[in-house]
Amino acid sequence: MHAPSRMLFLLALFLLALFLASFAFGRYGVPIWDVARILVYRCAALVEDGLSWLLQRTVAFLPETVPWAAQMETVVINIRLPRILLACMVGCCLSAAGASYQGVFQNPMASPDLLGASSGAAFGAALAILYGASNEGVSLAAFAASLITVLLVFLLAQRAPGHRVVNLILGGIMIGSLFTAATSYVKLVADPTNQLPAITYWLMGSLSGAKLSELGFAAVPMALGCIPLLLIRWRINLLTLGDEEAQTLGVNTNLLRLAVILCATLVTAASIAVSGMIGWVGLVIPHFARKLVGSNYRYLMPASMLLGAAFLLVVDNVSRNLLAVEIPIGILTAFVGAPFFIYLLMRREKTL
Amino acid sequence: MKKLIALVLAALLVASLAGCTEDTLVPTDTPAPVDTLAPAQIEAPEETTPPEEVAPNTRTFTDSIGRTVELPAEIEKVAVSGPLAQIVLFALCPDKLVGIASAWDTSAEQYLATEYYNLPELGQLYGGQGELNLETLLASGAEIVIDVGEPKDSAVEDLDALQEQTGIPFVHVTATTETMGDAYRKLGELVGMPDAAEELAAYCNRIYAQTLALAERVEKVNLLYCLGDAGLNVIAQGSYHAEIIDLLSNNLAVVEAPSSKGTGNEVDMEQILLWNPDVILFAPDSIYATVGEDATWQEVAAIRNGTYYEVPLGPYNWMGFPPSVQRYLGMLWMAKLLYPEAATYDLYTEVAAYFKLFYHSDLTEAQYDALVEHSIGAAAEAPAA
Repeated sequence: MHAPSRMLFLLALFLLALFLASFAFGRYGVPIWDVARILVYRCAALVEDGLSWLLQRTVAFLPETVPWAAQMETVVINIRLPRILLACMVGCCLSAAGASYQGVFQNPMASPDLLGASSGAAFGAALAILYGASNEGVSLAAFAASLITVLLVFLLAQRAPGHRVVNLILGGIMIGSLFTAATSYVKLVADPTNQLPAITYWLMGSLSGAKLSELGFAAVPMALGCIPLLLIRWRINLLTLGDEEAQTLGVNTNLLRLAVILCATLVTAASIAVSGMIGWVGLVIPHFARKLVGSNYRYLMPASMLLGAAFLLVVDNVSRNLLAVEIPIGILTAFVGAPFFIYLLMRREKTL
Repeated sequence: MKKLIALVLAALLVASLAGCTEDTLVPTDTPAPVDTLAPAQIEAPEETTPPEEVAPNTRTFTDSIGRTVELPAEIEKVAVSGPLAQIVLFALCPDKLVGIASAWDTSAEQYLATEYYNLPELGQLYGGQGELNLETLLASGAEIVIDVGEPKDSAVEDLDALQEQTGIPFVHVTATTETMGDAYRKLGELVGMPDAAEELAAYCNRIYAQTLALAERVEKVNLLYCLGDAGLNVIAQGSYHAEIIDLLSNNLAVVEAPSSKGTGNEVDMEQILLWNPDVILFAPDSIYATVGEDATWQEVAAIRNGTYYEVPLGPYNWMGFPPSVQRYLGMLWMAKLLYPEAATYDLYTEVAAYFKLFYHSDLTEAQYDALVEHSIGAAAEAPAA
């Protein structure tokens, strides 16, 4: 097998192992043997339900009584499973978005919040919390505000004369800072006993609220973004050549760039909406992936996705196990991310 | 390349191991009565059908936001959703709490019994999510999670979702300064302690009624509540935190948009000179200690006349930050400070009674003197005439 392909295969295996292993960690002591039995039982229950539905009559091959406490099943299925899935999904999306942005803007410093997606989401979420929205309402508001912000940046860059890519970046910085200021204002007027801590906590990013229903909500836009990104991944290589060279190869660079930005923004907005602000994943993981499989987006994109999912899963395992109370994951990713970026800065070799 | 993978793998392994060791540490972290529950369940695998079906002794309870939940008949282990619920429920059933939402202030150590002071910290909820680790909550063996205070608009959905996810009933009991008595009766019903709850409820109602009556018949003092590093933040009239201040004094701080934040509204020195209050209350971390030597502040009547005081702190700010039952303590103190002729009670007796009821602690006279060292004028200090 080709070296980068082998690496992708290894990464996928690694993620799978980590995914299964993550079920064993948690503050509620569930013996590992029971974890395995609960998982197998629940999978079998799904098969049973499926068969019942297909045959249109009750099929029962599982025992009525199970040899573990009901609370253990609650822990494994209602608390751990959604979090583990969410960590993988968010990590995968943020990292894919980061890799895409870095290619489109030919800038190693590009991250998913480059076009103001996270500042917009933060403002939307803060506003929703201020008006007493429920969890789903906050996620929806963050998602919508994030997309609107990027749309604003895009329109601004279209109207402004000059280099489009530079306009996009500048527009992102400006609109982003505008929304950051607006978020600060919302925090100022928020009620300090309930709303303010809720906003602050949301801004730090956390997967602690994960529920299976929320996952379904996030999975649609994430899939809508990630699948196209995977399909057109090799074309992102062309964008890194620069516009003139790509155009001489017969590529409509503007359309391609628009498509990539659109997909990357969609997955970023969906991730931030369900997890809050989680920095560094989108910036650092693509660089890490580049070290493993090289700069060809054909391998880089899936490698970033797998590695991003694995990274966030590990960090979230620490976040929910290290202390009795939850540590916001946004804090931990920065603690891991910042030293690595400093290391990159000191080495200064081929980074893109 | 291979080295790099090895490095990554090693790093990840270490991280997972960290998770592992923490995991095994859990039983030693949690208090003894709590972790006896999990092993019992493991050893007795036959009793695995949901407890609702096995135990016929369940009951339904309708909480303050209209949610009907099914509860065990006897509740022995209670978890709280946040600091407000913590303060309220600590007064009622300290022995039933499996943990607290946020750590006590270090000043609480001298008042609280050691086992209460060392209750494990479980973290608090902010709406639907938060620091409260759901697995820690389940491991603590809590039979109910109680939220006290004013409900958020989304409280019904948030609590329903958490209840569905964890399988533990979540209950909200609405409480304001005015309705604290009723809230205590409801909580008493909830945790099966009607007598203790009635005592607290009667206390809250009595202090509130007594303070309202006192506020009716006195001529109110012109007053400012100042806080912040420079003493230039005020709690404005009509704000959420000004409840007692507005009730018991003529709060001079009238601003266009009263801030509901604990830090109040920021004003400048000229504005304070213009208001020229007769009495100033300084928050515990403000400039009480140095303000007497400041030439500009000398222009203010309250500073010039020496009628400025510091709000007592212990274990919480008595003026109700966070805004919970210690507001009754604030009422007692403020009424005695400002209107010693009308407030005919002995403040030490009243404060000691409060500490006994709400903190289960015997406040010594020395502790009391330290608490109110900068907080009472000569008139209030003298025995009631």
